[in-house]
Amino acid sequence: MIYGPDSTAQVTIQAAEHIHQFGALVPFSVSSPLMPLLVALVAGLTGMGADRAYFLIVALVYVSGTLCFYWIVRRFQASSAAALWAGLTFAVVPSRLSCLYGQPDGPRLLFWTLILVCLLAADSLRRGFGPGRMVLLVCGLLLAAGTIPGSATALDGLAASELIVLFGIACWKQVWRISLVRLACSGMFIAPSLWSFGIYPSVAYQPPAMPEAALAWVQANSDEPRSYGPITARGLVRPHRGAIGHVLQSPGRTQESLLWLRAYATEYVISRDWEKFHPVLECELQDGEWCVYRIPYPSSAQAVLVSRKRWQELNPIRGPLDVEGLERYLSWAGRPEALNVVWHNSSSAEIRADLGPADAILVREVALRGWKAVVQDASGPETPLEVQRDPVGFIVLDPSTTGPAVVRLEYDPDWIERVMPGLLTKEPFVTGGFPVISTDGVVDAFDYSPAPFQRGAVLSIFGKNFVPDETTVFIGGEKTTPSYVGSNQINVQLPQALNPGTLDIVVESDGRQSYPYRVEVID
Amino acid sequence: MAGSLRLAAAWLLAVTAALSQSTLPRRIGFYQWVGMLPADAEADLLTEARHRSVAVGARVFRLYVGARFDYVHPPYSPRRFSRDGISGPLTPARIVRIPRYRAVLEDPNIETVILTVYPISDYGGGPDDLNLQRPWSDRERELESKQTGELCRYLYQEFGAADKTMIIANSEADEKMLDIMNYTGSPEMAVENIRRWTQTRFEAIRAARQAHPSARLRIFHAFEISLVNLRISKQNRGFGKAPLPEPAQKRPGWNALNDVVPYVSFDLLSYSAYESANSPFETRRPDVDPAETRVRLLRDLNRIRNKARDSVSPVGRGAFGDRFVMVGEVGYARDRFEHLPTGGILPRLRSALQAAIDWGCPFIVLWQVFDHARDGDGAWGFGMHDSRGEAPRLKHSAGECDSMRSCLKGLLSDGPTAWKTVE
Repeated sequence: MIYGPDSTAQVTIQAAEHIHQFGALVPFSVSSPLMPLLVALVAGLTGMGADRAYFLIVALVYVSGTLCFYWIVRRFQASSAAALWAGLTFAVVPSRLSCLYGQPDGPRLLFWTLILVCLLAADSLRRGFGPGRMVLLVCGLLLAAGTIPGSATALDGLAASELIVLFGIACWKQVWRISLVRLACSGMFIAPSLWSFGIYPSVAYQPPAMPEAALAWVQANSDEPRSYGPITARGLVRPHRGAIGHVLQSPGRTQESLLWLRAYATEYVISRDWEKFHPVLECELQDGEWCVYRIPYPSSAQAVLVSRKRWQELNPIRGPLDVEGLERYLSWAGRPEALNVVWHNSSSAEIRADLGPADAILVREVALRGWKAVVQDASGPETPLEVQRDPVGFIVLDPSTTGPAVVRLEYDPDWIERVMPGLLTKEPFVTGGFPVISTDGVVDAFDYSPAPFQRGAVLSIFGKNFVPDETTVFIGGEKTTPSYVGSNQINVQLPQALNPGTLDIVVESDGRQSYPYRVEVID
Repeated sequence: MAGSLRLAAAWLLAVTAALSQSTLPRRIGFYQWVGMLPADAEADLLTEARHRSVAVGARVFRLYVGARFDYVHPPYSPRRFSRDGISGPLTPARIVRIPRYRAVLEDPNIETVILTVYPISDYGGGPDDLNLQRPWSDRERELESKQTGELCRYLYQEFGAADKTMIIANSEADEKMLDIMNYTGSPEMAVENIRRWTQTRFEAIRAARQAHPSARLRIFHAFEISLVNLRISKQNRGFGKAPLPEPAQKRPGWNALNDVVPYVSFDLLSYSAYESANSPFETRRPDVDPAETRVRLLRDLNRIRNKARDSVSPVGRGAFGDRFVMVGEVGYARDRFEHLPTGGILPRLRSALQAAIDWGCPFIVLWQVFDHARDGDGAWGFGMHDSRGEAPRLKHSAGECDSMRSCLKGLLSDGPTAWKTVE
């Protein structure tokens, strides 16, 4: 199976940076050692960062791969519709299979193969409107419509640009008669595309078989067995299973892995990576080289009462390595006040709750578009409820009622969701570190006293990932130039013209913004 | 004359020391909440913890009596209490009837049982602790009053003739207040709910006590706090703890000592003493001279006493006099303290215990018998026993006690002089 680029980006870039810093002989196991080495090499030779080198290589691989695929199909298909369909099948079936079998990055792969589909469709149309070609075009457009909105990332933007360029090239048929171009494309295909579509997938993240005894033990001891858990990353991390699965299965990133496992209320993880989990979790059962680790968490229940107020203040999680965002999320979602979810069948559930005025309900079920909810309290008939989505993709319901209530959930997907069930969810894509303002990290620069601050006060902002010369501070949305920027401290003056009240301070460093830090300003 | 006075003072000190020594097992004990049971254990966690606590000579034991944990299944497990054959709704009185709980109350080696009790209700997911994140109403009042009354009646009925002390306590009111504030955004509701809950509990216990005037069993109500110098204040991510000047001038701050204690009644005040014992509250950096622990704890016990004096009931005053502050929890995590350049756990623990003993705390409870499981980022390794049931060796000098178990055993059997750690 093929994995799209952004799911592996985090781990690969991390590994490349590691290699670049410490050398290739320092042990750092990742699924595919070639890519980090290549990225580290390009980054070292060109002086660009690992993330940019990664983008460059991935872009080259996909552009050249796509061009060559088109060339091959075009060469053999002539005007035969059968050849066209063969090309289409070749392009779509692997991605579709990867989705159906739950391999990470199905949606992303689907999106990228659309380039091929659309290219073939456009080429067919250029030669006349036959029924088969029309079907091909409609399929391509529908797939695009269903995929793009939920999956847009920077790399997808790149893909869209690539599509436009290729379309232009395809229209300008003469270019393909220049053998030099064909030759160049072939060369580019043979090297990186073999890696991309051949070698790399064969060593990609395939969870090894779990030992039976450990599985049986978990089954016997699990309180909340559920569809996405409790054991493998492969089954665990919907909707973010691609990127997060890779974090979970990487040898490092212990902190991020534990945060994600908690975010998904995972009770147990079975692992043979002793260096990763053994120092921080208890091995409850050892089965050969495998250990069953329990992950303490307030409640692994499928539904819990959560704070409505804090739900309204939650920020999106900006990527699989966003520790601050995950900690914020867990401080909201990690509640012990469990609710029972009674499933009538796989698409219909009922939750009975005794609600307080500050309560909302978090249901740990992927918030697909097809979910509909109603609430019925003691006062009367059923009222429709908006099915909202929390930062990790679970359902949040806000009945806005108090006392005993029954919430009914029904899953009634539209046709797009039936075709692509649950896979077209957004995966956050970030690289590198975001600026982080420490807890209690904003103080008066003169006496280190916390907020409230007076207008015109000089503040010290403490945190990390501040980049000197590339940092600005937004105070209440207004851009302000700091008087000093160190890697862990910024000094900035509050404008005199501020209105008293609460406002947010945001640090932007190297194009990345921190979470807002709220302070009070007084006269 | 001066010489006589000095002699008298020395004699008084000697007598006091002797008395303290003889009563130490009655004053010092262990808490057990969630913990790791050794693989070769023959009983449940509660029973094992009781046995190990008694084995070092402690006659005080603290446990949790509530719906969230049953000492058999993991906390919050849907299967908790499922095999205990409880008929009817789960209540604290029904929980203490379960053999492993009842055995704690019956154990002749345990003279004082501290019960961390929460009334139980069902909010949709089965039995759970009283939910204080909603406005206090008659429902909550009735729940607390009824279930605490029922528990007291059961204790008097079953153990009324026993020469024992049973203390009904909460767990760290400040943590609960912080939780309510973060959940609701309302400090006022947090303060009000804790005040009403505490007063309702006190009245239920007082009523039960008055109904059993001839009982030999002593039941007291303890109100537990954890913040003395720190306050809860509004911060960037909701509410958090911070050192604030008193009175708070620049921004408001709340804690149970200032905002609840003066407005409620109790027989005894329980102080969960991590703020004093683990690090200076101003910096919260633990790597300081262990000898300062004593100074900080004595200072804070005095501060608590001054604030709480008017809230102690006549019964509490009669039983504990001016020493109505117990240390409800004190402990040190091995992963945070054992490797500090300024010394490990033992000198700190010794300093804290000596301060609490000298101050006259009626009870001092160590957290805890068994380690709890590591959970990634939390402090870990508080236990007298680890997951294998062994007593972890701690930093020590040759010939001196080298673990919590050996040090506590010496302290409880031979007094403070038996515990000689590196000075």
